[in-house]
Amino acid sequence: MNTTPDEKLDKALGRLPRSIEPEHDLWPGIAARIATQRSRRWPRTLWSYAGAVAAVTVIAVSILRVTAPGPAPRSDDSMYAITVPAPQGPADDTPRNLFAAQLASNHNLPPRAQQALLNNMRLLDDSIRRTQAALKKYPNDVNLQALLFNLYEQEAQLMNEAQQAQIQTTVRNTL
Amino acid sequence: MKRLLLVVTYTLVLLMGSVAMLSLMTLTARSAYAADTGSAINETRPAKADGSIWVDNVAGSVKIRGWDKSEIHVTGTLGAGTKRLDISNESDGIEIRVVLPEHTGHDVEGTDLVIDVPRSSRISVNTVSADIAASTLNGTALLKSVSGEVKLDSSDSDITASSVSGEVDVHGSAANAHINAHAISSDVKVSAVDGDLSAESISGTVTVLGKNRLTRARLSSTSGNVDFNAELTKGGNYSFNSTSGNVTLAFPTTPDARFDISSFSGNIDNSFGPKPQRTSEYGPGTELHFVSGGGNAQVNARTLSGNISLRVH
Repeated sequence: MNTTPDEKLDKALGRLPRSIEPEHDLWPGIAARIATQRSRRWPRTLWSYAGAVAAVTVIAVSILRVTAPGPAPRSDDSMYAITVPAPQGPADDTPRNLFAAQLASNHNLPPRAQQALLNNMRLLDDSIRRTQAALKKYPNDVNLQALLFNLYEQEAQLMNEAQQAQIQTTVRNTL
Repeated sequence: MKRLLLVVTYTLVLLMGSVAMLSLMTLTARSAYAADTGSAINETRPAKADGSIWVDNVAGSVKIRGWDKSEIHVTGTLGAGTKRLDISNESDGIEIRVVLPEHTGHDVEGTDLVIDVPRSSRISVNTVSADIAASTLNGTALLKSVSGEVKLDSSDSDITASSVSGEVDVHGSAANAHINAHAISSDVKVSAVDGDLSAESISGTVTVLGKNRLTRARLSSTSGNVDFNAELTKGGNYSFNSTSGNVTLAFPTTPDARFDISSFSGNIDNSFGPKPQRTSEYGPGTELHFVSGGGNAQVNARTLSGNISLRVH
């Protein structure tokens, strides 16, 4: 008796097991990971808030930079091309200046740290401008793009540190 | 209808009872020790071998030492102007906090704390101007200060050491550790570490020296120098960046690595390989690409105006 291909397929499907047990029990590993995640209280709430505030600040600055008018870099071969915003005009300074003003008005910060944050913000600002100026002249220079990318990362790091320092010196005593 | 009301009331009573019990348990768990200003501290508490220890202190110093006992021992003296010292047991660790009066200015005297903890503890220390020093630990360490120095000598597996204007010094780690050491205006020094390293400063010098075993290293500064004085690890990936600071890579023996070095307007000096080439296509800078030995590690170094020096000593 001839069988059609559909019947063959049905038979083959019928021979397949209804369920397949994993080679070993996965639950202990999953349970251990859940337990580890639960027990982790690190970073603590304070730093979580600081991180969130810093992230919002950095995102706001990045959005302002990316959306502000200016020629886009013309690099096709760089992994950094999509992440390096275009050189900016004076309008870009607003969030940075606001941030600097906020820092300068925090009297709880140790003067040495406050001065260090403000000076280094200016230093980063100057380095970013210098790198942007070089990049404007040589837009395909992959190393310049990488340096600029690194400077933006450092700026984000500085803002994060500044936020944490401000929280540490103002909020902590009321907790 | 009556029965339904009874069920609802019973459920509500049960819920409220559970909440009250939980609150009571929390309060009991958070029983706190309080020391008065000016008094000497001498307090011992049982602690888990790998539990968390959180320390908060504004000014003065915090010294953490690992030991083999399953308890913590806190000694020191509360500085004038502080309100009290709280030592609280929490469900997953112990919190030690120097509490200040509200609206405190800079008139608080520093509190010096010396804390012995189980070696494998997960340490988290936050200070404003207090220096932090931690040693003989092998758990995890998160040490942060605003203007104090941070010094860690340990075998921890996960390390974060940072300060805005205080120096950061990390010596030692566990195998395959994650090490994050950074500062804003001060120097960062790292030695004898193993694993994945990120070391940064904006205007300070970043130095890595001694015997290390790094699978990945990322060292950067904006205006400060970057000094790497160590061996390269086979298969390691190294990245060195500085905008206007100098980058110096000094190796004890001829390195076994691929080198991609570039500077936009600084000089490149190489004592063991080919001379750098001027890049005419994309910019006025100089570049240097070569393979030394079997090329079993990758080294990238970049500067804008800083000089780059490669040498074997």
